[in-house]
Amino acid sequence: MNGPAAPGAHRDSLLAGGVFVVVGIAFAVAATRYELGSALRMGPGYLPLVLGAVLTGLGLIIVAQGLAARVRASSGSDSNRGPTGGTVRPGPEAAAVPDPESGTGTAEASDPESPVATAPRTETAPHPEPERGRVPWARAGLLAAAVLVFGLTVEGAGVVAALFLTTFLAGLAGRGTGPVRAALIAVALTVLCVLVFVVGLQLRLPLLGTWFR
Amino acid sequence: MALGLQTALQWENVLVCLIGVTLGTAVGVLPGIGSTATVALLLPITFNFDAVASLIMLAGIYYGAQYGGSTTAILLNLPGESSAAVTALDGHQLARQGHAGLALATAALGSFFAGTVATVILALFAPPLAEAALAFGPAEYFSLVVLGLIASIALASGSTTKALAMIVVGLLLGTVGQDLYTGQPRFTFGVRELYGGLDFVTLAVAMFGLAEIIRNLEHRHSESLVTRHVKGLWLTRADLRRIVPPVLRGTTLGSLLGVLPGGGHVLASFTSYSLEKRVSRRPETFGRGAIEGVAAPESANNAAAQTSFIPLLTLGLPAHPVMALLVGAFIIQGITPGPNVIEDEPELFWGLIASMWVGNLLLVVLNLPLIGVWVRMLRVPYQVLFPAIVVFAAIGCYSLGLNAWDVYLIAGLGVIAYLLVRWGCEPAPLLLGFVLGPLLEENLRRALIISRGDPSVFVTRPISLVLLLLAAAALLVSVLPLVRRGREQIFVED
Repeated sequence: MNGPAAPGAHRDSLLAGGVFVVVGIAFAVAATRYELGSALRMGPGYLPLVLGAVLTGLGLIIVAQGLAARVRASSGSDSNRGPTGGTVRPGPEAAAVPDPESGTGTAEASDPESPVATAPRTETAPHPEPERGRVPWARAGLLAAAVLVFGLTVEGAGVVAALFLTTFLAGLAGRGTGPVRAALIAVALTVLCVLVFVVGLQLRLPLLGTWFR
Repeated sequence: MALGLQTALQWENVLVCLIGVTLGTAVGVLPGIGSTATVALLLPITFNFDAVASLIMLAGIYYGAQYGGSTTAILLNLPGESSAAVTALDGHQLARQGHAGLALATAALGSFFAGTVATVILALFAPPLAEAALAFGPAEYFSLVVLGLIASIALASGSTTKALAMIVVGLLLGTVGQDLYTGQPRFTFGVRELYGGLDFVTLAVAMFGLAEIIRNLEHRHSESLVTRHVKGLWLTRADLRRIVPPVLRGTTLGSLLGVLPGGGHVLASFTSYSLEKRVSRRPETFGRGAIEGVAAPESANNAAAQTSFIPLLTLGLPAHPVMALLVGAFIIQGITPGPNVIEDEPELFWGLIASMWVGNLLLVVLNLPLIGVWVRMLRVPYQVLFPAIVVFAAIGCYSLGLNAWDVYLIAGLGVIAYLLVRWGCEPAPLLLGFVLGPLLEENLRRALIISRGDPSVFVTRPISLVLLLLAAAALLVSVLPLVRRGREQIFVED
C-alpha cells in the first residue's frame, strides 16, 4: 500500500473488506471449537460464531462496494459529486437480527462517501483534510517497537531503562530526528515520566529491574 | 442537589476538579489529541483517588480536553476531533484576522453558559429516567444496546457498511476472555493474561493514541501559529448582543442531541452551525470569520457533552467513547453505572453533577487569563510531543494491571487501527461495540433463558419493541442520503 493516494478510495474498500472477511472467518472458525449450545441456552461459541459470520458478510459487501467503485472509476466518468441516489445498503435486519445469510448476496450499488474527493472524516481528522501521504511503515514500525520494548524490559531492566529505550525509539520515528536529538528527547522524557509516575503518583514500578539484582 | 453542592464544594473535591480541568486542558490543547485520547491517557492518574474524587477529576479532564481542543482549533486550525472541526471553520478565520481573543472568549463564555443550562437539565431529568430504567429487563437492555450501537453509525460520517463492520469487530473483541456463564476462556490462545478480557484503556490508547500518531507522521507538519499574543479577550456590548442568540440556540440543540447515543455532540455542533448559517442575515460571512459560527457550535458541543452523561448515569449506557472510558472508571471503583447509582451512591451522583458546574466555572475563570500558557504549549514541537504520548500510553497501560501483555496489545492494535482508519473505517464504532458487547451478550442470553428460547420477547415487550423500531429508524436515516448530504454541505460550501 505504498502507491499514491489518488486511486486509493476503492482499494481502501477492498483492503478493509478483505481484513473484515479474514477476521470474521477466523473468529467464526475459532468459535466452533467452543460449545455452541442452542438459542435457548447459548454456549460460549454461539454469539462469536454468528458475529463472525455477520462480519464476513459485511466484509464481502465492502469488497463489492470497492469493486463497484473501481468499475465506475475506470469507466471514465469521474463524477464523484454526482447524485448517488441509489444507495442500497443492507437492510435493518442485517444488524438487528444477526443472521449469517442476510445481506451478503446483494452487491451494493454505490457509496457516497468513498469516492476520491471526500476523504473519510474520522474523529480526529483535521479540516481541511490534508493530502494523505504514504503509509509511514518505517516510522510505524519504530513506534510499535518502542511500545513492545517497554513491555519487554519494564520488569527485567526496570522502569528507567524501559522509559529511555521507549522514548528513544519513538523519538527516532520523528521527521528530522537523528540519534543525538532522540537521545536528548529520551533523557528529558524519562526524567519527566519518573517524576510524574514514580515520584508524583507513587506507582509501584521498580526503578531497577530484576536483571540487575 | 444540596448534597451535591456540598460534596462538590469540599475543598479536596474542588482541588481534584481543578487538577482535572487543568490537566485536561493542557493535554487537550496539544495538537492532534482529541478528548478521547486525553481521557484514556490520563485515566491511570485518577485511580489513586476515591470513587467520588476520581470521577470528578475524570469529568473535569473531559471538559478540559474539549476546551483545550477548541483553543487548538481556533489558533492552529487543528481540531483534535470532529466536533471541534466546526469551530475551526470560523474560529480560525477570526484568529487570522487578529480576533483570536474574541473567538476564544466567545467559545469560553458560550461553553460556560451551555454547560450551566445542561447541568440543570441533567439534574432535573436524570432521576426520573433512572427510575424508569429500573423497570428494564434483559430484553429491554438488549434492545437498548442495539439502539445505541445503530445510532452510533447513524451519527458517524463515512460508510455505513464499514461502520457496521467496525461495530461487529468491536463486539467480537469484547468476547475475548472468560465466558460469563460457563467460565470457558474464549480466543485467549492460552495466554493467561487475556482471561479477563482485553482492557478498554488499552484499546482506546491504541486506537486514539498510537494510531493517531502514525497518521500524523504521514505528512509533514507545516502548521504555524497565527497569533503569539492573544488580545481582546473582553467582549464589547455589541459582541455580546451578537453572540447571545446563537448561544441560546446552540445550547438548546446541544442539550437535546447530546442525549442521543453514539456521538450526539458531533451532530450537535454540525447542526447548530448549519442552523446559524440558515437563520443568519449574512450567511456569506460564514467560513470567513463569523462569530456566530463559533458561538453556536461551541455552546452546542458543551451542552451535549454534559447531557451525554444522562444515558450513562441513568442506564449505564455510554453514549460515546469518552463515556465508555468513564464506565471503565466506575467499574474499577467497584460501582456499576446504571439506574442504581442515584439510590446507592447519592453522594457520587449529585457530587459529580454539581462538580460539572464547578468545573465549567473553573475553566472560564482559569483559562482566559492562562491563555498565554496554552499558546506556549501549542509550540511544543511534534517531534518531542509524540514520543511523550507513546511513553505515557505504555506506562499508563502497564500501571493499570502491571501486565506486559497490555503493552504488547497497544503496539499490535495501534498499527491495525491505523490501517483501518486509513482505509476509511472510523474507530469510534469499534470502541462502542467493544464496551457494549459483553452487555449485549449477557442480556441477550439472559432474556432468551427467561423466555425459554423464544426470540419474540424482543418484539412483544413494548419498551423493547419501541427501542428496536427506533434502531431500525436510525439505520434507515443513516442510509438515506439526505442527512449525510446535509452534513457534507457545511464543508462543501465554504
